[in-house]
Amino acid sequence: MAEIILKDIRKTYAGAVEAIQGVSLEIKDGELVVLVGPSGCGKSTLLRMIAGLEGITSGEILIGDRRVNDLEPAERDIAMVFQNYALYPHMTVRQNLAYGLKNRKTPKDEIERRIAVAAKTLEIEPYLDRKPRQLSGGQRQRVAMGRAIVREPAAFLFDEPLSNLDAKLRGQMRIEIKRLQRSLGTTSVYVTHDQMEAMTLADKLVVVNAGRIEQVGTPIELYERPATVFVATFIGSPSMNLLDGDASMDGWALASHLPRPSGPFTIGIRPEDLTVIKDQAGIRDFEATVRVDGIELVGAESLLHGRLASGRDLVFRVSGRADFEIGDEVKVAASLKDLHLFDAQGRRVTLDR
Amino acid sequence: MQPVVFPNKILPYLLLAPQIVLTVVFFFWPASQALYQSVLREDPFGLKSGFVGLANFRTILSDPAYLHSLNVTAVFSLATALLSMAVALLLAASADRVVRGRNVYRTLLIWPYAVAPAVAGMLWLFMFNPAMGTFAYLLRRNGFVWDPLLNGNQAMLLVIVAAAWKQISYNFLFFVAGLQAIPKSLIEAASIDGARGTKRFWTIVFPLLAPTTFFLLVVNTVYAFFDTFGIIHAVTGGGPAKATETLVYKVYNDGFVNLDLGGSAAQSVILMVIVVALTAFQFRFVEKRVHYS
Repeated sequence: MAEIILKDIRKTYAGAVEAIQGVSLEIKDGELVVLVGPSGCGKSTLLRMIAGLEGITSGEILIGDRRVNDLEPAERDIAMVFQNYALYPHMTVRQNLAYGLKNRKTPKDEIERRIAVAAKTLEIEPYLDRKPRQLSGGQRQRVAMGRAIVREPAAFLFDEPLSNLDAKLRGQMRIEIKRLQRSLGTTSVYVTHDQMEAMTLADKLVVVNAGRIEQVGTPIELYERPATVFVATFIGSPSMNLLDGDASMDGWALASHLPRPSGPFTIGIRPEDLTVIKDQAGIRDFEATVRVDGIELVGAESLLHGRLASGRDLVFRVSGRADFEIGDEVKVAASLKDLHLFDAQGRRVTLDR
Repeated sequence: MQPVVFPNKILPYLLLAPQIVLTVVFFFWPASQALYQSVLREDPFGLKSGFVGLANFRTILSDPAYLHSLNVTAVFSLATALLSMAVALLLAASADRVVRGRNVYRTLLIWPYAVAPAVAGMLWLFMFNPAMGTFAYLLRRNGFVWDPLLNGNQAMLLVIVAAAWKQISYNFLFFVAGLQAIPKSLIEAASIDGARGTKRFWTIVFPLLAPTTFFLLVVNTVYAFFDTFGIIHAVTGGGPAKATETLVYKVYNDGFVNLDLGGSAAQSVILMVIVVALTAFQFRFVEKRVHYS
């Protein structure tokens, strides 16, 4: 049980490429923190730095009050689950689980006990004497988890552990990882590029972009109050509509009584916050007229791709089947509480009434 | 593998023809000639030869010189294969950790492979010849009695080292490739699991190299049996007192120097059987312990 603290971590590669540009983060004991971001943003590098597989140019990493900068990965009391599982192919599942404990000179009966418990929790008992290649992807994933669990480390590090699984299994394993992490109460850092995975797993979500942290918060905070345009578009699917305030507001309008930021601004509206309006009466905070040029029926709801007069796209969502055709002109509206405003630098602006 | 169906009936045979012609001309034909010769005996003047059945084989197998040669070959082959593989593995494992200039190291280490066996033998002979060798001089000056021309064990050591040295490059190449094929994440997982240095090497890296090691074991055994003729011929000529006379050297010596063609052919047939049996044995028993991922 431990907290993990990162203090102004930097990583510069030869050639002065700054891969990590000053990251500070506090992970509380027992918390599951998800690092999410597009590929190449540095989230995996960050995780590998915590693990000790990657050197740190400057800054400090503490795991449970211990400065681990100069410690070997083995001495940091962490366990890692790799994207490709990294199971030792020449060992049986049992040997895979035991390997880390044996190297630490754990007594034999203690190893046996821990393997038995982990195997029971993960339901891999029938496969203990098989080799990894005789297992399916999902089973290998469980073994990889088991190898982390038996160590009883201060922290788990997950490096995109589900990305090699098919969609259905990924959903299952996601729930299982969450449940397991809850019951063990072990501090965990989880890296993924899948925002859906990130949203559902995280106690605390960290959005990483281009080597720095964009925003830290609970999933719902990030969804409801994204601090930057990047977070706004990265979290949520389909992603948030963005409209430039300085462009000719062709086809859309903000109610005149609303305060506006001075200078150019960007307005963001989530597709699910736009509602189709049929009657013309009433004042709306935001209103737009679009021509429908695409309809995607995704089961319980339909995604509509509309085009404003200025040629910009506006995606919105209706439940069930849409009752109009491609080419129809539709009016959509949103209320003030669902509008996100960003300044020219892409930072969130709070609208005061 | 996907089965390929050729629209033309003759084309596949045509494509295979060069390989088949080569195998027939350079393997099946000489091998069948050897089989045929092994049951014949030449008259003293080489004018005619007569069928003698298995008499040649009986003679050979009851000849103490032949049994001695068998023993020499076993020692020589085993030592050569092990020495060259061990050194190559050590070099490959070290080269794997070199970051800067690793290509230079690799290129340099590959060079000895381009040296012909006889030339390699001469090289070592020059270095260790008791009359003129630099190293022989150094050894003697330090009180070590070094004379491979008289001491059979020292002669054996010299040919083993020379033969192994030449094969190190080849083994090195394969070990380097094998090491590179090991996923980096496995090594990282092992380092998190608390395995370092030699422990990691023997518990993770070496078992994962097993397919490469096995392949090299087969290749090196065959190399030591056949391809080392040039080295032995150049360095010791099978001596002193037949101490380094391997089977393949004896085949040459009995057939082309002593002109006992039938006996030599019989020896080469036995040699062929031994190598086939050894390779089959390696595939049958050693391969079982090899893990292919």
